[in-house]
Amino acid sequence: MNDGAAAATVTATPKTRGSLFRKYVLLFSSIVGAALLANGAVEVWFLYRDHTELLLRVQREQAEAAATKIGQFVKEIEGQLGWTTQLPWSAGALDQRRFDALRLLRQVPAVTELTQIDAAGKERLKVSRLAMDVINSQADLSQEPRFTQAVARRTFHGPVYFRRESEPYMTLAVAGTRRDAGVSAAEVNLKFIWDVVSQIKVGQGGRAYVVDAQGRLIAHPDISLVLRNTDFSSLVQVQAARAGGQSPERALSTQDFQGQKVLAAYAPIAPLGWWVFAELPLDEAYAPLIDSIKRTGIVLLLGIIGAILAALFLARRMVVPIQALQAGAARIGSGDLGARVEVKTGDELEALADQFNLMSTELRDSKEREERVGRLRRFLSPQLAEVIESSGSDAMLQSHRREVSVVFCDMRGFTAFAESAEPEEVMSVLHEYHEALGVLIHKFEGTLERFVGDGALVLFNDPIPCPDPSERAVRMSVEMCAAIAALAVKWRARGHELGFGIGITHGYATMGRIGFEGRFDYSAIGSVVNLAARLCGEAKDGQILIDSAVHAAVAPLVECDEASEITLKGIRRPVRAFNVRHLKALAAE
Amino acid sequence: MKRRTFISGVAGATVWPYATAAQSRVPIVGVLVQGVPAPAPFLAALRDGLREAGYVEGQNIKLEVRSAEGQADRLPEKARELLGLNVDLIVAFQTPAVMAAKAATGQVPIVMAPAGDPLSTGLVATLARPGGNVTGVSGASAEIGGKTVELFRELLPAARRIAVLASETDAFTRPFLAEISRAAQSLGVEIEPTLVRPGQPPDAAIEGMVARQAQALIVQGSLARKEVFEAALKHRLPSCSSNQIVTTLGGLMAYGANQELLYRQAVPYIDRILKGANAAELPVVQPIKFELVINMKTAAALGITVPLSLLARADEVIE
Repeated sequence: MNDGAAAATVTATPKTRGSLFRKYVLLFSSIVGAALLANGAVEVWFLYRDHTELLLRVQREQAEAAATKIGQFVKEIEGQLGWTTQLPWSAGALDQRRFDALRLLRQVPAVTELTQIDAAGKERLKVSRLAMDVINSQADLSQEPRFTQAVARRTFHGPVYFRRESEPYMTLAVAGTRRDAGVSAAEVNLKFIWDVVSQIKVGQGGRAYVVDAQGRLIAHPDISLVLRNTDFSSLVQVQAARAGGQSPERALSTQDFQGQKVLAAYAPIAPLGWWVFAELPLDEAYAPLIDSIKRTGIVLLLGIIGAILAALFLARRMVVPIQALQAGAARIGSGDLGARVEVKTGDELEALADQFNLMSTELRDSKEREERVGRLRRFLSPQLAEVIESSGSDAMLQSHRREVSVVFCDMRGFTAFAESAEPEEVMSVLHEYHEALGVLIHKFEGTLERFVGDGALVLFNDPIPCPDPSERAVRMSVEMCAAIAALAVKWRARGHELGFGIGITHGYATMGRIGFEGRFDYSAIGSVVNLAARLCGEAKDGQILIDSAVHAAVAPLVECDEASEITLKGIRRPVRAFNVRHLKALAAE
Repeated sequence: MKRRTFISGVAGATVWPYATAAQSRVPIVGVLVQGVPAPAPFLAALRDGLREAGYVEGQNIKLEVRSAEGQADRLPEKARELLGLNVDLIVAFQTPAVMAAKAATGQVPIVMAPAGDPLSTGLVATLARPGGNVTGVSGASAEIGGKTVELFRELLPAARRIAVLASETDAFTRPFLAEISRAAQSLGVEIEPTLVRPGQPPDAAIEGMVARQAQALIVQGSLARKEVFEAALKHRLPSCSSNQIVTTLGGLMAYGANQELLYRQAVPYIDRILKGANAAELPVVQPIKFELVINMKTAAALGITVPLSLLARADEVIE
């Protein structure tokens, strides 16, 4: 991988990572958050509904309880009045009746005045707390509603009126069971209802109050409103009560007379046509609800924060190994084979990482093997290199001693050529020369120990043994001479006078790997190698000089010149050498 | 909720300087009394009521009591003295004090605690909407005078001449005497009114009544003091007034609105006016509880047998 691609990978990495991380966190937290929100919303809605229902029910019950109490208050007065109408009117009973009437005033504080009317509608007795008592005035009251209505319906509930334009009063009349018992009519001070309504506690800031059939205020905790004869008929809740008051709801959210928002419930006081209202300020009514909504909100918030944290954790758990894998792949890409990825998640990701590590190990092994083969190829034919590599061990390359045939060849006139010719020309000639030799070395499965400039050293019988090392050496040399002779014609045409000579020896030498890690060579050391080089040095153009050991091995195959004794530099005794003219078998072929 | 907290914070910040200004100044309530009858029960009930309403004297309320010591002509001076103290309102005990306060100021709110029949004495325009700077508790209307005559007739069927001790300086005297006369006429009894000044020693007046053969004595509420009833008892004259307390001072009988309740009813007026209510818009409250109290010891001392019809009606009988 080149630098540009590596840089691209590096810059692309955080982007890819961010996207997956963000996606994962967003998805997870929004799913959990949405579920929590939906749950919270549903809870709040039910809470609101139940709370409102409960509140209204409680208030309705309060209003109903108050209505019952006020109804009882009136009923009680009716009962007391009924008790004064049990006896028929007859002369002489007036004193007793007055006594009873005075006792009734004593008993029922709300009755300010009591009038007794006989069956004919004549006023017979009037007792009062303030005014003077009137006895047997015989005033004709037979046309008054308190008489006619009471006679017709047993009881009469007069309309509410305000005494001295201030105090609410009502006339309550009861007829006796007997026709001649007459009617008792009481003026009832309705301020006494104040006791009932002021005792009703509607929350902290709520209140109960009573209006009559016309919507006028009869009783209210703030007595001033009553004494001022306040008209409530324009209030929404009063209108609702007066219009469709029989609906079972009997509760609504509206405003009180001061414009404050309230929850109002109401109940009728049946026989009177009055209404009791219980009102609670909305702020107060919903304060507990708002508190619990706040609590729900906090729980919700914590839940969402938890979901986000969980999403971050999970995404991290997922993305970090992926990142590690990615980094590992990048390291392999940049050449660090065998890079390892540490993932300990105990899941598929770990399996993936293990697989990755396995792959990278194999990559590294494969690369190493490739390198080893490459090294072997430098001095072995590709076939041999493969054989040695596939044998799996370097044992063959270890230092050892063996009988080998050594071929040494180089060009004649090369030094002069290299000095005079252009370097490019020298390189081109060397290339053609090496190519020609290389093909033949491979063909005869020789081991190329090394090229040194125009010289080349080739071994046979090592590291792969062969049955006929000298024969192969000679055959290869003959073909080399032919090949180079052909090339020399070409070179001569380009003006280069170059020849070729070969020396071949056979004997024991020590072979093995020399060099250092990263730059190993396979080398042969021994006098047999030196001798080959010296023979080559002695050989004229086109000559192949072989020593007697080689000659002994190939004598049946080749035609040689007469042996000559040659004295070689560095070798004490003269050496017998033969020049190979040509191969015998070659003619037969 | 944040928004609400914020708003209340802003509102608090706006109101705060005024609030502290208002708090730093303890409201002063002037109390004006004539001195006759003795103001102690009234003042005790007033202080009780204020305490129950959350007012602590010296902390969030200051009471300045001024008494004319029974001298009706000193009431205007005392009223001016209170106004000089820059009082927030004046609580006036009984009609003469209310009259004096009203004469002294048309601005400072005045709470009647109580005043007899404020409609007929012209203290308020109507009960529902007083209209001026006077509101509060209405005591008995003048009708109670007539009722008292009726009760005396029942107690002493033989009585033909009933003396009335009325105040020279009380605006309530006129409607009070008128009602008594009307009742007396219908019941066939004679009335002997004697007008006195509140602080005046009563002996001479009582002796005069006895000399004129009065058989019973009705004492106007604003004259009801110990000396009067003791003198009446000394001269064996059965006496009656509207205030229940007279039965413990030597009076035989009392009929009228429960005084303790009336006194306490002044407290909500004080509270609301201090909180900014307009006196002209606060309706006058009328008594709802009327009580008949008879002192049987006094009756025994006077040799009077109380008829059953009265005993049955009595709310309290002192044995």
